[in-house]
Amino acid sequence: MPDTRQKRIRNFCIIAHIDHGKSTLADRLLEKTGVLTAREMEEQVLDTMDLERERGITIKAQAARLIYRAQDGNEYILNLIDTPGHVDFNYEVSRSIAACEGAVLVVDASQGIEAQTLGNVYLALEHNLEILPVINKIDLPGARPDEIKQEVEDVIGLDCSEAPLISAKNGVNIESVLENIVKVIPPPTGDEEAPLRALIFDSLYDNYKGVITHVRIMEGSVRAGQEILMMNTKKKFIVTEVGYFRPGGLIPAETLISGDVGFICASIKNVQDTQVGDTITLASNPAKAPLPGYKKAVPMVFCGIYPADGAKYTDLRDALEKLQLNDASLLFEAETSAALGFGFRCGFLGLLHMEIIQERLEREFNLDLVTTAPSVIYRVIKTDGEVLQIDNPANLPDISTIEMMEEPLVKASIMTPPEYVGSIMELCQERRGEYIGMEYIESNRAVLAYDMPLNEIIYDFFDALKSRSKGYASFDYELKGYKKSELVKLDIRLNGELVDALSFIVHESKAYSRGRRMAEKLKDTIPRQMFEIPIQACIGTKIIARETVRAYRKDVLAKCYGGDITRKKKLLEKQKEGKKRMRHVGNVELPQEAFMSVLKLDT
Amino acid sequence: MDPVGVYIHIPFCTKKCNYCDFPSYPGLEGIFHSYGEAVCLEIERIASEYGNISVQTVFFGGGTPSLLPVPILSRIVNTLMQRFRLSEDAEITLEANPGTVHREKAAAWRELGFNRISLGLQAAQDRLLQLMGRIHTRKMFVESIEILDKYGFHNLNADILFGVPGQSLEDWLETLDLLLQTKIHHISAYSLQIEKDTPWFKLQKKGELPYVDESLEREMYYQAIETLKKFGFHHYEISNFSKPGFECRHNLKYWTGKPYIGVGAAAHSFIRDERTANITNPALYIQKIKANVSPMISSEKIDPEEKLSERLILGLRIIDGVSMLELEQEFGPEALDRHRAAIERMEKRNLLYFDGDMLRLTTIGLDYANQVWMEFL
Repeated sequence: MPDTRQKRIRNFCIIAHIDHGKSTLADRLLEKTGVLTAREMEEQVLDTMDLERERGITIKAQAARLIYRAQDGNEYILNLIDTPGHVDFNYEVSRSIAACEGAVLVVDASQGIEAQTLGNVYLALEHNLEILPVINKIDLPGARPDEIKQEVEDVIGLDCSEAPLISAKNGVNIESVLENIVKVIPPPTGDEEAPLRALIFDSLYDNYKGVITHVRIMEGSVRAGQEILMMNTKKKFIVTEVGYFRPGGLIPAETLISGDVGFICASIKNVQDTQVGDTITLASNPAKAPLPGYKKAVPMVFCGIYPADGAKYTDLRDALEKLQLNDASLLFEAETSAALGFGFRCGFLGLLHMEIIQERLEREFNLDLVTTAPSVIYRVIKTDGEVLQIDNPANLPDISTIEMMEEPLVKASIMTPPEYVGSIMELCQERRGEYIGMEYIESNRAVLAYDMPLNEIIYDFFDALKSRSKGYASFDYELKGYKKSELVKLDIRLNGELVDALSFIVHESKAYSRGRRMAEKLKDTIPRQMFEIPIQACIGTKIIARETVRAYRKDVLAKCYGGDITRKKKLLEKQKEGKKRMRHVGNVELPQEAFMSVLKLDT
Repeated sequence: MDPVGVYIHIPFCTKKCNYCDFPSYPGLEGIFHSYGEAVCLEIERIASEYGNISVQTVFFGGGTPSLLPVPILSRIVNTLMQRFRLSEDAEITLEANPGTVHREKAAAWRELGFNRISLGLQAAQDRLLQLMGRIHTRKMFVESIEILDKYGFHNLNADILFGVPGQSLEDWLETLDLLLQTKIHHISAYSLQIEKDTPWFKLQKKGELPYVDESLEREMYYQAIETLKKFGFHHYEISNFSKPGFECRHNLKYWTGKPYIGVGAAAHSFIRDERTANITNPALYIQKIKANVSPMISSEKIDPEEKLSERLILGLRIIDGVSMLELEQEFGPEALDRHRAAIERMEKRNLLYFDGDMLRLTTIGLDYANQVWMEFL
């Protein structure tokens, strides 16, 4: 009986702030449902990547099917869909949420709700998810579960009287979470006979199977051999395999039916063809309309990535290609810089996404990188009416040909304890923010809303925000649109030579102070050389700041006798190592840190 | 085998200087005797391994070798002469602290066969000597020279330092002036490096050591070159000057890639294309020798490629440079080809130049020699 089948399915995700215990709870749920034996249990199964584990966040949504025999004696299929935990992946989170009927909200018994968590809760409520609050870490000395419950009721308006008090770490009260999932979260109700509509919430590239598309079947069914159609990208494929997820692997199945969470393989070579949020239907019997909410992932932050050793260019390209197999939102194209040689201009969803990719390149592919300061996409309207999208400051056309420029604007919301409101407002003003409003979500938490130019955020806004709020403020943003702006290109000249990789675009009002700080920073970063090095910050031909790196007067080992030779050679070798890591601009040796120094001008 | 140089390390001093990071220890008078015996045993070990080696130069360095009682010194010298074949005109140097030179000692040293004394003056100002932690005065140095001259030493060196915290250009010129008035044939003028694990390094870290201006330090170097040249001293190595014919033949062995044998704690050898080092601690050195165990703690085979690179680096320390013709004959043209691009780069940067087949550091190159040497590693 079809109805009974769906009644025994629960599709849910877990919403939690970083390190409030999402992964640990997921592990416990897997343990209690016996999907894994204790021996198979690897800590934090859902976080498969080292990097994520280290940072306490997840990058890619994944799913697992749990089999649970409830107190009512029935066996239930619980599909846990893991959501990425950061603002950069907001859209991916929204698609994971759209695949569920309910969400488990994990709240730390001593810390309460954080801004990001709240954002995701609202997202879940928008999608009509049933929210099941769970108070975690009740075993910690600072736990105040009653107050936190009250806070959740006050802030979100959820009834917390039945909220399980648990310790995921120690496995306390996990059973009650499972029972509540069955009781509180509604089963799926899609029409099994309708034309197929499957929501893609993630995809994963596999060397043998091609792209493994993660789907939630909303209506209809799908099986191997059928031809499927991606409703937004219009691509067609023949299904080779369908099935469910188990931790660390797949379970093949004959069909996926409405209500199921599982995977579809169809010899898809490119993750770009299985965009998150797209709807899969059958080519032979297509649905009338795709599921709502599809957005193409749009990179917002760009930077140049170059191999520290020019010979590693192809290694870097291979590494980027490999990462892109699993990350449809990572863009890259070849570019060259006079200072840095051959490299790539890469596009990211946001700053964190950028950092993650950089770290993965360095860690997983063992590459030594030089990265340029991040940039956004500026819109340049030329006097002849041509419109350019500029993601690399070096490509800005001659100023005389520019009619006007526009920069991207974001809607930023900052959650902070009230005592830091003053200094954060100051920071936002400094960053050309336009004040929209402030709300108190409870007596000790305010949310500030600002419209801010994205290029003011991508430098060191996170660091500045944290230092002005003693680490308490949190921050979220989304793209709002473009706005006309008085922008100039700031160039850096070393010993008279323009260093293309150090150019950046900045608001006119900021140009002088940034130019000055940049020159000062470079003065501290560039080691003294055999000759004096003038550092100039310029707008066009106008010099707005100048510093000088004094020459060193000697670099010679004064003494070298018998016993010293080995030691002195080692000293020279060390010096040579350092020199090898330098970049050459004209006759100036530039350390790689110099290219990142634009990033940290405030700290 | 080629004639070798022998270096004998005496790791003892009365008091550690504030800038000194050499393996040298005060307060070990109690082991002078057993150390001397150990050195003799090591000489015998070496003689039995290499046979009757012919030796052109002997250098007693330290530490303060002049601190050793004459009978101990005598035991070592006699063992050397018995076990090795010293050439007629061998250069036999003893390093001496001006605070340790007396008539009796000078006479005995001459008697033993020493013909060159290297005195550590460092500076001509008692104020600076005291700051450095030296045990002697300017006056003691002047007297030492007189005594040594009187007892037949006509090949004398003085070590001096420039770029010393608190040292003015006038101080430096006065030091040079003092040497020009005394019977000195050789001058080693070193730019002071503040080495790790010295009292001055710690002071510098705390910001309590007077700052040495780099331009002043270079000015001192240039003035030394100019002044000494005027008075007939030949600038023959980055930090060394001599009257014609008084170059230190022992040290030249290091810079021209010739073999040498080090004896004693912390001594280094380079023989049969192998670099070896002895254990640093004098007590452990004695122990090993007594137990008839080799005191060597490290050894490194130098392959031809490395040897060539060392020859270039060390050879360029010599002001006349290094003969590319000789290197080509010894290592073959292909081996040399590997360095040609670097040489051209350094020529363009005005750090190296050719005089005939001699590759030399330019005047600028003398200030930035590390930049050149790195290229040959």
